[in-house]
Amino acid sequence: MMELVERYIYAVTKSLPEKQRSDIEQELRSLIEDMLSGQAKNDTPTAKDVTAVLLELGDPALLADQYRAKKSYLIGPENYDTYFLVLKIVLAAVAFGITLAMTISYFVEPPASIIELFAGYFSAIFGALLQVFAWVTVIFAIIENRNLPVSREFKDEYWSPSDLPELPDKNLTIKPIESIVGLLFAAIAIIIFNTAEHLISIYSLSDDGVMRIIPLFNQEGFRSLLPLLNAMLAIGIIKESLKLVIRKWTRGLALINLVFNLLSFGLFVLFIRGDDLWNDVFFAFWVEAGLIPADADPLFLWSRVITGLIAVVALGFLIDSAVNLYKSFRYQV
Amino acid sequence: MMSETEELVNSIVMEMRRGVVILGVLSRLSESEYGYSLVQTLEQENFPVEPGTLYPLLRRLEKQGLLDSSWDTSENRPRKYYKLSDKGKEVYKKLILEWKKISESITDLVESERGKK
Repeated sequence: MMELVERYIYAVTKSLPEKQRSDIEQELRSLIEDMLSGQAKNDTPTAKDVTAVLLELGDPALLADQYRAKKSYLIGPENYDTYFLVLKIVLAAVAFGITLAMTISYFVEPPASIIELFAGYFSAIFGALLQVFAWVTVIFAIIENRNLPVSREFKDEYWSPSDLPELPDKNLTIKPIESIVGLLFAAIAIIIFNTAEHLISIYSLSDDGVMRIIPLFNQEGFRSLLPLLNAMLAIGIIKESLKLVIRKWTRGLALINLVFNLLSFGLFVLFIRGDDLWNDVFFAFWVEAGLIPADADPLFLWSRVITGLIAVVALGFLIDSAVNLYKSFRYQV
Repeated sequence: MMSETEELVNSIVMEMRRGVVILGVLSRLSESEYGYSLVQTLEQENFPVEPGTLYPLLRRLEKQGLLDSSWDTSENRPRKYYKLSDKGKEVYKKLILEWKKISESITDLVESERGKK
């Protein structure tokens, strides 16, 4: 009979902070005893009395809630929606990227058996998804713990009407889908460049039906230049994430966009003009295939192509930077 | 079965009581009391507060420095006694003034409305 009382006390206190537990336990016990002696007609309370008293005190979980001053969360309601959105995007991007990389590698180096293929695929995707999930959750848990709301605009302790966010101008809103597509491409590019760069090749079927694969890049040269490419893609990911969180072309964001674009462009130029990037066989192939006259210098022609490419990329970055800077100054109230 | 209006009245009354329960509790703590005796006193004064509400509230008030507490283990049942602290006394005095103001204003409002009819 008194066991029921102990079980009730345990149910209330088990999830309360260690420090207060024994104190609350003791207080609850003497409360219940007091209530029992009020309830019981004789000196020894019956099982019925115990049930009546416990029912009067109510659900132990609710009582425990009363004792807890405030609710504690790993990720609270304020940040939960953003957390969930980021998680979905990142998980989808990683799953897609791994699937793509595995599909490509299946065609390049077919594994011994289908079972091996699937075992490899599932273990790779499971491991990667688990890691991503853990990291995103840890980052958001830290944000929660430090009391930093990410979905709200930063504000001081005292609210003033000037803190009100401006009405969104249609010209300034950033559609999330833009950034999501950007993030997906960046994730895929990172996976391909880091794991399957040799697949970026010319595939030509000669007359006798033999497939010739001529990689575009010189493997060693590419490897030493790869950090530049990774840095550029990482900048792209940070940029798209910022756009996804801010959702609006503020002046600050447009300026960051400009700086990031300049950095990316610099990295791109350093990469594409880097030493020993291209595969020599690739040039020989041109002449061989009769694509260019035999007396022309393929290296010279190629350098023209590269210059053209740089110009196109420069134009792209320039337009992106300028348009968004203009917008942010023109439409901002 | 409770009618819908009764239910509404009940929930609004509960909200009203929730606002003044602290004042009611502080009013009985110029002398040391333990939780259950306080439950009984408040019930006798027609201001019943459930133990499940009162006990956590006493701890909160203690944490805010309005109450001092001490365990009395001399009797066969150990009991935690609460009493107004100096800070609690000061806060209680100010709360009484505020309560009088609210009570007067609401009385005026309600009375003048009745006078119109």
